[in-house]
Amino acid sequence: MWADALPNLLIGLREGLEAGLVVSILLAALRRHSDTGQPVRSAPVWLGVAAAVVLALSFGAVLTFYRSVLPSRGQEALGGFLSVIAVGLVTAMVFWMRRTARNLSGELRERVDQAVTSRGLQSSTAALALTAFLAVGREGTETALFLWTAAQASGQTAGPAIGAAIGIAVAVGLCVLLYRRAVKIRLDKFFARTGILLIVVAGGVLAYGLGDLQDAGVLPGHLWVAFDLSAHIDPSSWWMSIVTGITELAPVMTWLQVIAYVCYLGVVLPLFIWGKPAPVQPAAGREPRPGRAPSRQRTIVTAAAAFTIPPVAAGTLIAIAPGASGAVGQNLTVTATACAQGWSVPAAGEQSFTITNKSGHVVEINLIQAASQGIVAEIETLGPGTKQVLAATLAPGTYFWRCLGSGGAGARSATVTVTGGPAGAAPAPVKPVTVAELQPALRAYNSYVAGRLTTLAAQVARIRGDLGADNLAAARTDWRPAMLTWEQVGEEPYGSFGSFGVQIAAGPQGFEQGVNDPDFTGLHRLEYGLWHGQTASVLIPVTDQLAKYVAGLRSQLTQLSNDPTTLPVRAHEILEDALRDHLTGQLDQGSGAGYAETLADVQADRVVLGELTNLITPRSPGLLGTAYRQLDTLQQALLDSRANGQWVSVNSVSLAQRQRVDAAIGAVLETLSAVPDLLETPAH
Amino acid sequence: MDVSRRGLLKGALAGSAGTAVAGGMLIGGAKADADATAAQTPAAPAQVPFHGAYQAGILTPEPQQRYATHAALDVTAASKTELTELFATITARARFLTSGGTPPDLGVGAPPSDSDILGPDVPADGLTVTLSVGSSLFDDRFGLAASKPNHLTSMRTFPNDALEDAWCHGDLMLQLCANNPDTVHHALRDIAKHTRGGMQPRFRMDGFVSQPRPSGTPRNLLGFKDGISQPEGTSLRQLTWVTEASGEPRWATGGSYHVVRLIRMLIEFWDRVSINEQQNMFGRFRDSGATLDSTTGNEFSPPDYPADPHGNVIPLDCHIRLANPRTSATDDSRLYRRPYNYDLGYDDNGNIQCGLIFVCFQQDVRRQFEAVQTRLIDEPLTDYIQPFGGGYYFALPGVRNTGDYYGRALLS
Repeated sequence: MWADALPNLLIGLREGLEAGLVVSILLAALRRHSDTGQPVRSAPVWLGVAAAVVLALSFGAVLTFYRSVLPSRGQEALGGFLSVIAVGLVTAMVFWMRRTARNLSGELRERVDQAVTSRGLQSSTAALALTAFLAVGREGTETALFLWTAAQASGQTAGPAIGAAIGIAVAVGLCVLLYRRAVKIRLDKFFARTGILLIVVAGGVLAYGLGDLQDAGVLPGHLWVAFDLSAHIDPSSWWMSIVTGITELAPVMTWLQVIAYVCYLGVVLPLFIWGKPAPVQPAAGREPRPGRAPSRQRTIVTAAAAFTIPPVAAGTLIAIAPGASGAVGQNLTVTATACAQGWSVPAAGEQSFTITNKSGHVVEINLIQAASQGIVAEIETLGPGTKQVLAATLAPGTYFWRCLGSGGAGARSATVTVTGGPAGAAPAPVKPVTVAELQPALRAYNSYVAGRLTTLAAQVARIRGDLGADNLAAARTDWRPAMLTWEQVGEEPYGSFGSFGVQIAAGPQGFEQGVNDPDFTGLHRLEYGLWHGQTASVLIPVTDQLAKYVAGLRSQLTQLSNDPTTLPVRAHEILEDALRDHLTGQLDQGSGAGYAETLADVQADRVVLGELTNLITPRSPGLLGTAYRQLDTLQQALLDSRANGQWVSVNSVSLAQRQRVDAAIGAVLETLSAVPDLLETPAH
Repeated sequence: MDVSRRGLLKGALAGSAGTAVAGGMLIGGAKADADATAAQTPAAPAQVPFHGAYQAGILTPEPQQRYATHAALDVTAASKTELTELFATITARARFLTSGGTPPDLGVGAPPSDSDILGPDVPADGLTVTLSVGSSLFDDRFGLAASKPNHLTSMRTFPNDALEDAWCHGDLMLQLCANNPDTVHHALRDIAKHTRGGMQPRFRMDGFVSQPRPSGTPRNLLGFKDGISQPEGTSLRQLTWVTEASGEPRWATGGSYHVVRLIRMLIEFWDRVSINEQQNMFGRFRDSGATLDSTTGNEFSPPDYPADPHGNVIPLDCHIRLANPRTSATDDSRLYRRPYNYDLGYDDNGNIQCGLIFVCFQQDVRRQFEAVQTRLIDEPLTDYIQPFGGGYYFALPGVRNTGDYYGRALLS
């Protein structure tokens, strides 16, 4: 990284020294004036310098920002163009400096004279400031440009910035010392030597910039590679990073880059080293331009302008840059007291809104159609201080926003009427369901479950009796009804019955020791033992434990099953789990009851849908009819999978039979997948 | 010379040198770019038109897209009405997917309408959807027995086959081809989501076409260029499409017999065989693809069998000579091939399971594919390949316009 700093350190040092020289010449000229006549304050010079620095910084900010919002091709094109321009400027400057170095102080002194002697104090102040501003400003913007392009060539590390800062700081220090004559430097030798280094750096920047233009497609030949040493050279090795840091060369370069580099250095360096500097021109006299005396007000205004215009211009440019804010569509804001006020809709059809949450807490925001009170679009969770884009398709009608904040009251926005556009194009709004509305359904479901669990307890006791009499065949026969009763409960493994779900009916897959794991318990553990020749004495404790779990669930049912919002999810999860567990045969521990268990799940699903009828039908009138028809098809396909009335395992039926069941369950699941979305309750 | 003229000369020299260098760089660079793009395959079409007298994905686009899946399915629809609904749904999905567009917004009351695998706006990406029907569709389920194409049967077993029933046949064959593999996956997934009740998968094989290496026809996984010699122009159309003069049922006009063969290549064995033996089995040089009697090394030059009647240069039992003897008698048994490579995994013995999805289209499966395959019985190449799946299907005529749907003439 420190190698990346070197070029910018050099640039900063040299350009800083140049600018510092200009300032010190101006100050020296002023001092000469005050020695010989009316004392002149140096404040205007510093004013001009400060304004020039502000200008240079603003320029750098605009450059950086604009590059960052461009797409990558644009970035490369911009960087490439600016690099070429910067190299041109620097080359011209290096030669100009050499040519006019001896004249520089004379010229500047003359300008200072003019400024000081122009009529009126204010005008001289202004003129002085202007001189300083122009002189340093040119240096400053050129330095900013060159630093920026060199930094682009060096990559994304902080090295270039650090190097520039160090270089400028050293330059400032040197200037101070020079001014106080504490240090003597042969300036012409200094500028000659640093000029050579600057040309080398500029050559590298030129090659890099041309490469950027090739990558952006502006110049051809980005594949016409001159050499590719990347396989042999490690670019992060210390010596490589020095070389690339200083010269901006790369292990891979195209012919254009190589030839440009060689030609540039081959032409410019000899010209610089051996070309003759122009003879010293006597300073030509110039008449001071007559002008009216500027008022004090005008001076202040000008000064204020010099300081404020560049940052303001920069800020404006940055703000209007395309894609800068990333906002899509309308911008709406949610605050602690207001919900998306001041919104409008130009026409029906697809819209998008960018919604920013400034309320300080998490909100849910719904776009509601007034006529149906249904939700058209929503963001369920919008964190504080964040923004999201929300897309919606609006038919003609009246709409408003509702904001539901955790802790805040549900605020409403103003209503807006949308006109025009096809009436049927937009999807139907969905009226949200309240938790209260789901409570009756949950109560009905819980009492159904309680009934099933009573039956299950009796069936488990029967199995226990069979095992006590050492009648394994009877235990096998009595196992299936118990399993199916549990499936009819429709428990879906979201932990909605606490840990009882796993304890009563989990398969062995999730346990370290599989079927031998002591935590593998319940109905499928029993199944495994019954179909793998385990003895009654082994299975009796398993059955006792199962009975305890069933009893535990019965007693804790209402406490555990207390979330009404799980019911809409159950409506399709029951069969999704059947598809995953039973129809794949994954959960089968030997009984081959996969199709029978799926049939029990169908029955459970009918119960759940029945309990949700009053809520589903108003929101999607045709859904239940289709779903019941499809459940009938599935039921028939399952029944037809039996051989001579006996259930067979899913792996032993014909392909055609399997496809029939898969088709039927697939179709009904597509239909039921809408239920949780239709019966959505507010999240917050 | 005075100063000004010297200066002028210097300037002129510098100027012309600079211009020459700059011009050379620009021209050289442009040439390098052009060469680079020419070395790659020509750009694949972004969109292949769906409607037409013939289905896309058969003779169009040319060259074929780089990725495909061949999915055989069985119809689970319970009646002819449901079958018609199924075909109409497949048509609607195919229309959307092959033209691209924004999936509909279903609002808050349903899950999203699209899987977003291809992003929020679905690009066409060169997708073609080709639907073919198997002979089992013409059984007694839908009352279509009288409409069966004349030569359509279920695929017969050839002497060198090792067919596995799970990889064979099917009521339908759905061929999806596109420029990228995610486009193919997205299309299959979308069609399945809309048709779960009406059809269920039987088997499916994904395939790919390699880049030309280094140029010319792409290679198969035996290392040989595959698909060099194809019928062209008018004879291609005559050999491929069922016309009114073919004697087939009216509805079949514009269709084509579609043969898919899943052929495993025993590449471990193959890689242990000498190059001469390999080339003699195929009848072509492996590196260039040129025929063994070639003097130019150009893969596209046809072989000269009359000049080699005893097979001294191009063996009489080599693959290309048996498949297409290039006599006037065998002229009408030529067929159009559209193969894909597949690469699955391993078999139980740690050997790579890979090979060819051989696909061909023709006007008459008996006269063309079966004749060719009969000539190839017991060719030397059979030691190294194992056909294990596939089927005979009939590619439906094209969907003509937005009012039309797959198999409309067949089902109405």
